Amino acid sequence: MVSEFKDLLKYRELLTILVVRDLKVRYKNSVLGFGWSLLNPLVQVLVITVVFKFLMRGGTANYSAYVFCAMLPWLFFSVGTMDAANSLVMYREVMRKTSFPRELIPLAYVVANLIHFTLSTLVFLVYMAVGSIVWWRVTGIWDFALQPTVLLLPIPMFGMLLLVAGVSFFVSVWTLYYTDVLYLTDSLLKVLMWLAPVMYFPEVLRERMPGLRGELVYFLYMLDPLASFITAFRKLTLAPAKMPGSELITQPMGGEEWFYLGIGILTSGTLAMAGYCFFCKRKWKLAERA
Amino acid sequence: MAGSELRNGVIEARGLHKIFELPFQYGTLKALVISGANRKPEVVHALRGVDLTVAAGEAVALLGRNGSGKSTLLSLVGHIYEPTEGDLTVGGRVAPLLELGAGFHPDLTGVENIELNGVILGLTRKQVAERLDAIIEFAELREKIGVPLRTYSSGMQTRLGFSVAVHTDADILVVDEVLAVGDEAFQEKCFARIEELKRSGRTILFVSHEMTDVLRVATRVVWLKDGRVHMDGAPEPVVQRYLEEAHGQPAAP
Repeated sequence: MVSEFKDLLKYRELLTILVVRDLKVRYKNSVLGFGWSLLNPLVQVLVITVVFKFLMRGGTANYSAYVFCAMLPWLFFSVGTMDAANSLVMYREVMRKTSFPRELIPLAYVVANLIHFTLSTLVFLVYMAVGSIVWWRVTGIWDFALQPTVLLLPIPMFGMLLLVAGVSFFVSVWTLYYTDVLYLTDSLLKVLMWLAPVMYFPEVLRERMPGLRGELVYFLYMLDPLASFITAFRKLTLAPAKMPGSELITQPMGGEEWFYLGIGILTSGTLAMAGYCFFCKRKWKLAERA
Repeated sequence: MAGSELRNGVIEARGLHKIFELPFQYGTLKALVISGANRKPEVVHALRGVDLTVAAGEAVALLGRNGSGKSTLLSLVGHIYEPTEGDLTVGGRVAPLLELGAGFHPDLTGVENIELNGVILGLTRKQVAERLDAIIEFAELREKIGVPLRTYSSGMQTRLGFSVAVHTDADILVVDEVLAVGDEAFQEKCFARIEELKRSGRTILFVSHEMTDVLRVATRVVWLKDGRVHMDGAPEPVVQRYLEEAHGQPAAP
């Protein structure tokens, strides 16, 4: 695996080019370009806000910001996984005619999505900052939700990268062999989204289940690296908020969250290594699947 | 690839076997579940023990009917996949030109595609940048190079692909039926370029069904039959025997 990795370093230029190719193709041919890719999560968040705020009357000030913030890492995970799942199938013909290391194919999509994730996050941070300042100028209320800990965001983002890469190595190979895996992955992602604290705050688990049972459930819940990354991502970015439908205020990023974040990075790192080994064992067989 | 002991441009194959498994109806989990444990993959034995040594600077043409293993052998030398059995050592860098413009994307411009294709074929970005002018000049696409590839005719696309391919400085060119592309004038240019590459000591391993191309380019011809080397030698006699058999004249009693 070490020699494989050295080989990979030699090809980093090709990785760069494949990433740039994907981003160019994605942002070209449309007026809004990068804007379009933000439109989809924005629409989702808008719908969610309307539902929660007006229909269910569980309003939290700025609830949409909290949902959108969690949506960013979630979209990196789900879109990245789906892109990578499709990648080997898309490069089938190219693989049959060329001989570069195959892991570059899913990796290029993962990296392209990471860049996209980073750009969207920056846009979100600027929007939050400017929005708060405008709000203050207009109403005189100083409600600056951004936390100085945003500077630590690269830590959960690194964990996300390991996680998405690890999952992608497995899913891309399986999809090449069995198209069904693509549909299974898609469905599974829909379930995973609700298992992760995207639309809600994880504290709700403890609130609904007080006592030892709740603690246990919370512990197991947080073992999901996605849950720990998204929680960390949100808490590092935004100030604690009042939970919808409850009087509780969420906790800021604390020792417990850091602990789960660490576990998440360890789990994801292991998964990434296992995935890479899995992939490399099969990589020269992939072109034979035509 | 363990090619460091060999001189650049040398190919050495010993007892090369390639077996493809075609698990029937693979592609769906349903098939996997239904067929269960007693599924036997269908097997295609494409190469059945090929021994071949190619010296640096040779231009070797592979002849043979469809399914005789020519493309499989090219793909193995081009390191697309690995042999099932046997040893294959290839000295130096190989450029597999099994398809012109591998990785071309219709939405990217000519220049962007040159970079993509060049790096896939093993050039660095710097090398591509240095050769960009020569590549565009050779392809005769100066005025269209900044527009997306989808606006190119198919002839223009192949010309661009060929041009990138012959500007990589691999020691070994592995070429599958793409020796000459485009119109008459451009084909002449292709052949001239191939002669140039030969003179500069590159090894060329190619497949072609055009006997005139074979006789024009090859310094040696290898005839493959059922995954084995059937005949190996100077171009004229091998091509002649091959044509005799193809046209139904009994070559041997």
